[in-house]
Amino acid sequence: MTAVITSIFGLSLAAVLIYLIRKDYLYIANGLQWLIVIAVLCFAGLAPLVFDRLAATLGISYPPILAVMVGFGLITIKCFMLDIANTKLRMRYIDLTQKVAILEADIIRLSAR
Amino acid sequence: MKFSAPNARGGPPEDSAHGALVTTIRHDWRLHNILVVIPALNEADSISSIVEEIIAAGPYDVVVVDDNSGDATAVLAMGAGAHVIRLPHHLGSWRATQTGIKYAKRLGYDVAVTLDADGQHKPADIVKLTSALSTNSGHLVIGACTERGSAARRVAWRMLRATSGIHYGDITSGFRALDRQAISLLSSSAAVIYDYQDVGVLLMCDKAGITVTEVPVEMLHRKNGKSRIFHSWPAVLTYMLTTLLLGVAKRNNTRKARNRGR
Repeated sequence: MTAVITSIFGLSLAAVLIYLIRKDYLYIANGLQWLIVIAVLCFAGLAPLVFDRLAATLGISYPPILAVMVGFGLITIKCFMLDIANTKLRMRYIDLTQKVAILEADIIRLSAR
Repeated sequence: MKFSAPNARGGPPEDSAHGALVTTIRHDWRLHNILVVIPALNEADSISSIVEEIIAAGPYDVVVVDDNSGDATAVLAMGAGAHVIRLPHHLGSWRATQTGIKYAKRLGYDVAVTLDADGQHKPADIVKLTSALSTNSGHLVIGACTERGSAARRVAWRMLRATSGIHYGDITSGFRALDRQAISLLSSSAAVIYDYQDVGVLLMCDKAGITVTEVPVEMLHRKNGKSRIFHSWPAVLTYMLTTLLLGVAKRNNTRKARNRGR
């Protein structure tokens, strides 16, 4: 049952992803990153045995938590990437705002000559 | 397609029309070698008198960077004889100051002096800062008044110094003089990331090999309003946490830079 629910969840997310790219709400490179996150989440649900074996190898007594940790880790990385991109955009926005203000001051002074 | 050559700074290409525009503006506006930069937000009560005092103490050119004020700060500053740059959005005190520093670089000033619009800094002390600038390039002078402020402020300074590794006395003073090299560094896009002009900016100067010295000055009570940074307890908490984190994160870079310089 878990596999079915995970599959539905993953396919729904994939459908939303395609819709967002199609409507230009999501940049294609970001879409690819999200696709990787969704693929790993689906794999964790559809192939629980892989995680059971891996958890046993790592000495984790409750195998499902490994899948949760992997998914959570991926989403955390994605959030970091978002904030890095946001910082770059913010710096560019401030830089441009300062340049616009300086140029506007120049225009006012030149038009008053 | 024909491309124009990149400029000397390695920045984007500037066409001849743009170069002519800057030359015209330099000729029209730059009367002296020192530009006094005043970041201002809703300082209508004090801006006229401060600009007039600075011009009287001159010879200085004055630019007021209006951080999107809701009052008549810009009009009053212009009326008092300053040039005014109006930011289309509120960017905060450091970025308003940096806009003025960028302007100083653009027009080729030898020295930029930053000074608060609330009347804390005495225009007569500008000469103390500018005369303390060494003949060696790469110098920033802080007008320091460590006696000001409460015991809490001094504790905060101590914490910021301990975490960041910087050793200056008055790290929050907005009264500073910059030579050409310091102007060039602090007008760079890399300095845009900082919210405040203290720890991050001073660490950046240390890393770039800019010499920072302090000159004792007297500071007065604000003519109006509250501090732009310490206006409420949540703002103080945000400032402290972000600045402590910045100091810890950047501390090693400073050590490496110092070691490189040895």
